[in-house]
Amino acid sequence: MRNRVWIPDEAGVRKTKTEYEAMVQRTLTTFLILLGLTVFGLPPINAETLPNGFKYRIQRRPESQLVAVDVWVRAGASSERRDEKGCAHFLEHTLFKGTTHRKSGETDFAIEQLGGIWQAATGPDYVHLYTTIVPAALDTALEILDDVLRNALLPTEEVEKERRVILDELGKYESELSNRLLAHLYREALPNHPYQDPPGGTTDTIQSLRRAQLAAFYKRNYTPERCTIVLVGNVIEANAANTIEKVFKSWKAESTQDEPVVPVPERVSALFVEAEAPLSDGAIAIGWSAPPAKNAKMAVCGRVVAEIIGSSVAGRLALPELAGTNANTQYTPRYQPSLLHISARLPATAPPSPEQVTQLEMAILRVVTSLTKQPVTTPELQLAKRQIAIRLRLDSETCLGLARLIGYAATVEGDNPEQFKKNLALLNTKDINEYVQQYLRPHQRVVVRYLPKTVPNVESKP
Amino acid sequence: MRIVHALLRFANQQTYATPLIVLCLLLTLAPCSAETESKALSNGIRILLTPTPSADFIGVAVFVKWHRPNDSKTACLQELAGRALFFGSLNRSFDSVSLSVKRVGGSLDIQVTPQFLVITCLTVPEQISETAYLIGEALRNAEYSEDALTRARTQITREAKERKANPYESLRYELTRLANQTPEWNPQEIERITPQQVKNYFLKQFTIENIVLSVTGHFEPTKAYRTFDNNLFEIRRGSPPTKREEPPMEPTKLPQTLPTVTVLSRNSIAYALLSMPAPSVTSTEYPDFLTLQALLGLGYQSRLLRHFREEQGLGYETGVTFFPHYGEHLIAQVQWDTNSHTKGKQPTPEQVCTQIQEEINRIITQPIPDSELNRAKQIALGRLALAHERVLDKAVLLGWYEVMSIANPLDKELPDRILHVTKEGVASVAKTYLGKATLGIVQPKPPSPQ
Repeated sequence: MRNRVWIPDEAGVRKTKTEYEAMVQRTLTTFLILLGLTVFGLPPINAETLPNGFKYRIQRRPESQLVAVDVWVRAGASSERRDEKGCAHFLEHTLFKGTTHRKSGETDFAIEQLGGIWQAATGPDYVHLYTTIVPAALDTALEILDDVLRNALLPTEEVEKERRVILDELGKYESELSNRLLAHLYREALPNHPYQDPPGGTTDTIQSLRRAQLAAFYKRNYTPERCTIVLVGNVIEANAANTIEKVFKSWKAESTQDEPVVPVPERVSALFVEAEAPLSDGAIAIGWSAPPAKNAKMAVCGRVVAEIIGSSVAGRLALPELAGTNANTQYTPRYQPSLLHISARLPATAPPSPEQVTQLEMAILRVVTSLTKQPVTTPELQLAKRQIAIRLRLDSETCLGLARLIGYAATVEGDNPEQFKKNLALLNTKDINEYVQQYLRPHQRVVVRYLPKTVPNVESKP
Repeated sequence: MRIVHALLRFANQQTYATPLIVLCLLLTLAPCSAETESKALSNGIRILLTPTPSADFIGVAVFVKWHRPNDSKTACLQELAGRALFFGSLNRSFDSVSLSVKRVGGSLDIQVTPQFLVITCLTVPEQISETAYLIGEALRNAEYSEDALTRARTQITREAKERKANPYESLRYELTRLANQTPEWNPQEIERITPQQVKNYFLKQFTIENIVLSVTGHFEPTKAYRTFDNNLFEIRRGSPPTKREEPPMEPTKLPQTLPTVTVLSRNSIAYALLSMPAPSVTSTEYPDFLTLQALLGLGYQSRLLRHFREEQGLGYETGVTFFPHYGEHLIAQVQWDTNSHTKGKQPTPEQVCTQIQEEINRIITQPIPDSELNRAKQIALGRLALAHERVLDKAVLLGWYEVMSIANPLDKELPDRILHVTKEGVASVAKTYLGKATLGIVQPKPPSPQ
């Protein structure tokens, strides 16, 4: 920047006075932006949409040496049709296995020789592909992404090999009690809903999928208007925007429809489901319907309520009787209405009994009902808000962390980090009580109990 | 906006414009050029200060160096001296201070490794004094009451139980223990240790020359220095290190025959692991080793991922990990679900270990293509850059460098040294260090006959 202003131009001619003044103004403006950036936080996100519907978000971080590239596609598990369960996750694995321009492995090699590694993840509403690279590698990364998003070939041989890798992944995932428990809760609480099944698919669905189904899902969902690319790091916004436009503008728009909003079934009474726990564990999960991300105010309330109930140091679930149970409250706003859920398991220290599971459930329920009997106080609210705000700052510490927050918000149509902060600051105890009244009624809960069975102890022989 | 216009008008008066803009640019660039200051507190304790004005947080890492324990008693003393360090030496209780750190979203953790005790704290700038107080008070005069030890013992026992319930964690723990040749866990021994024994160990080990502090993030260096000095200057045990360059900590000498560690699991998930020694961070071979690590198992085009995932469709958690500051060797691993592969066609964990060894042998015996070497170097550099993104990661990394050698030149020079790595260098470190591996297996327990 300094060179561009102060070194005479290529012809060695000093700038005219008018140009000089303009430069002074530009430089000073840049300085003031950067000063403001240091003092007041980051500048607003540069958010644009190309004529074909492809969206981009750019957040400059001049102090970073890196840039995170994160493309979000609204092609998660909720976009799957009944016979396509597991497609979103399967595609996430096979996108990099060859395109019309590159053989399998070439996309990975192209970015890895620039120091980055392509990673990807699938959720209920999204698939996102991401990496962190040096700014000089940005053009290559965008060009590869364009190729992968538009020209993936999904070769049969690669699909079959990757199927086995996915099964190894799901085997591990399903072997963990907490994952099985929550999958069970969503299945019971959200029948015939887009979030009914785990976003990664199951071993059964992955076994049964064929290449043709993957190709059909890819064609239908990988369209420019369903994509948002996020760049966070040491980039010049204008240059990055130009490159994005150059790379992605030729992608032809498709007229795809957004998924219709599917409400969570209204309950007249609580639903209880019992199952024998795998191995000798005892655990519980309780869920309540929760608002979609688009309902910004209630979505923020939900996050605060989850904080107040538990999971952290300030939560009401931090009780001696729940020590060692990993009691955990979660609510992640999604595109569709979903669940706020609390899960806990019996401590591994003693042989568990069904009665203990009931006691655990009662202890959790007492905490939730206490929100009505002892409404949230202002200091309690302030503490929860501060915790959430700090966590947001911590999540944004890396370029990729911030890119994730921005990309996720754009995909589920929720608040971006700045809007979220503003909405969080505006929240008061009345809003919280409104949320509790509307969403946390005890009779509308769904409970899944995993009751312990007796099995021999684990053996290990070093 | 008025201020902006006024400044612009002011800048447009050419007389003042030049010095003002130069000043502005210097100020703007200042945050990017923050460097690590290596200092000694007034008693000689080493402190590294890396101000990062753009950060929101402060990361503090404290390393207390000790020797690898060669008997069970010393191992127990280290565990208790570390775990109970914060339990009861403060005017305010550990819980209340810890709570105030957590309430602002921060964290305070202790890690006992065979070579060091590592204390890490993530906090916000407003709490730097509180953090320095907490650390200073503990390092100055930890009390180790019977209550404090009971609490630490409970914590250690609970963690051991949790670890035993997790076959993979159990295996890694055992491999790290073998890598460091540390004695086996002995629950009776830990009960026998008295508060006085722990206190004596503390007084002997927590000395000026063994302590290194690394502080990274949003702070003003002079003030931060003063804050830590005020809280730690009273430590008078030991003496300042006399020379800057210390002899490197050598890797442990492994026995001729290495065991295979097998852990049975209750589900269908299998793991095959190889644990292999690594050169010290102070060694000239260290950059070659980081490149070798990337070549072997970082990224989808690394040897292991190509061999197992791309060619055979085997293994999800596949690749290498290397956490030398936590006492781990280089670990190469493949994880798979034995239920998801056709019986008879899938390899046994032992066969997977053999295949990993064959890949390593190929690196040693066959020339490494230029493109592959370049990929590995770039991945190693990328990893290094990512390790500097978070303030706490950076504090730990720099603190570890400092306790092993001298952080400042090491951190600055490492990227350049990686760029100069040759294929011969990579093959040579592969031959020296990866030829001898401890094998670790997690194997699904066969169904018991009914």
